[in-house]
Amino acid sequence: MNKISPLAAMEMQGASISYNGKPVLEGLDFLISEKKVTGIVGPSGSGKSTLLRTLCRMNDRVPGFHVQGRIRVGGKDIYEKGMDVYHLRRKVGMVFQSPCVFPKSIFENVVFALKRLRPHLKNEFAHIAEQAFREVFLWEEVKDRLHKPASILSLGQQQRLAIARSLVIQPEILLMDEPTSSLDPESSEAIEELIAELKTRHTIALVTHNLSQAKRVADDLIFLRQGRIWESGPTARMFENPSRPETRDYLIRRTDLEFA
Amino acid sequence: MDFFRISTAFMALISLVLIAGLFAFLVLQSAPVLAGQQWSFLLGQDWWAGEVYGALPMIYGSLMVTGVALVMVLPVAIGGAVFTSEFLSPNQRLWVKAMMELFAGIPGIIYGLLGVALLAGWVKDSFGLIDGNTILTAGLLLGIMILPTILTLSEDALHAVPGQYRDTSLSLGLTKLQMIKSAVIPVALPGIAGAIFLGLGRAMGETIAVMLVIGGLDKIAEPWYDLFAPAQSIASKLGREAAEAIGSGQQWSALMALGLILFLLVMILTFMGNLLLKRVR
Repeated sequence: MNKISPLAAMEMQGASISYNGKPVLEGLDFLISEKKVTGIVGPSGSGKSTLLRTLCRMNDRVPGFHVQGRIRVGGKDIYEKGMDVYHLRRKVGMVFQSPCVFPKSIFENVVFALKRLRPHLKNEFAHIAEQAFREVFLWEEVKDRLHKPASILSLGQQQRLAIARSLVIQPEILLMDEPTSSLDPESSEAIEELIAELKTRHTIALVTHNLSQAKRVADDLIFLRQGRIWESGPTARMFENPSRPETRDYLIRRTDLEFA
Repeated sequence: MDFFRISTAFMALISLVLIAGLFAFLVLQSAPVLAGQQWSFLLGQDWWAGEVYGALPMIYGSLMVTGVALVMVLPVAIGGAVFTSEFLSPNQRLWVKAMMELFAGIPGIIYGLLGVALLAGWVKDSFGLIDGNTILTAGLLLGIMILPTILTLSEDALHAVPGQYRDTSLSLGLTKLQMIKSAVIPVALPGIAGAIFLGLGRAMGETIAVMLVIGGLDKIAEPWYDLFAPAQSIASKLGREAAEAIGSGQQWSALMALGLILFLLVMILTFMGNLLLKRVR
């Protein structure tokens, strides 16, 4: 990255990721700055989601998955022996591609993790839930039907519920894996606005295949291609003056196509 | 409509007509006794061939042995299913599944013989009874019989829980145990309930194995919860008497009425299962 930030929320140094001995991503060196949105873009199959999932050790239960090199979150190597992976995931929340709500009520969904992790706060659940709903601009839409099944919500509302569900355990970092790809344009816009708001308090890594979205919301960009980081840097520079021709090709031509 | 649609619709119709026909046949055949005795058939406790037919001891026997089987099988089947689905490697899992499906296919008579040879003696000696043929023996044997079915079907339900629920739970910092308890099992619950009701349906209809170890006494135990008493289930009663009663008027009609009750009980089980499934969803 061009800009060396002292406030690195996450970083990789000479890291590589492999499945069953076959490398998926190699030579990973990057910093993700605190309280910024870092977009991760690249063609399908370039390993965007794998990279994201590695940052909260979500691939641990995938057989054959292996990581080498240094991967740090908050200065600590997260693949080191003795790392408390549950503690890590409470610090690094994740939002997935298709909104996943549990077959429970709206309220039960948002306090899902709280109930298991911080049962002593039981009396404050209602308050915490309201705050989280307000944070994702969902409160007005759900306040009268908190005890209805979450499945009655639209997909866009479900995705905001999923984000609220992550926020209640106060993660410092949010990993978002194509959070708008299954949503209609209006809901996508709402999520984008929400991301812009969230970055005042959280560090965000956003995988997206929507380049105009990356241009709108990401401060920094990481462009993955052929199993490595092809180029990375501030979004504006990446779009205006990329240093490698393939980056220009991918970022600029594809963005034009999206608008066409 | 094309030929394929017509022919499959015809097959579906055949299934419906067969079931409706069976039900109508049972109703018609049991009509003489039901009309003659009315409620005293359902509530009567005496069954004297040629005189009076009371079904209550058999209804009681069926409910008791099925209930005992349920209590015995539930912790083992669910525990085994969770362990198989969540903790075994894919290969080990397939091995367990294959074994369970093999066990589920063992005919009732084999279980019955093992029940007579081993279980009845064990119950007799362990509890100091005069006779090992009791409600408990039949219930235990039924529990063992339906265990593989319930285990493997519940395991299917657990295993089919979409990965996204697991991912979401883990990403929120839950431990694996918390994930299983609060995300996997609740989502799989309808399937697990379905597995249990299917198993109970099989237990309630099981004839030969129960016949061999239930004691064959048409009597409600005193007190009713005495599991060490002999009893008679609907199926075992039918198995014992159908051959001798065929075409014999009232007794045959009474047995058909018992068959009708069994049919309805199994239907109620299925209906309750569906009701439960809907509520869970």
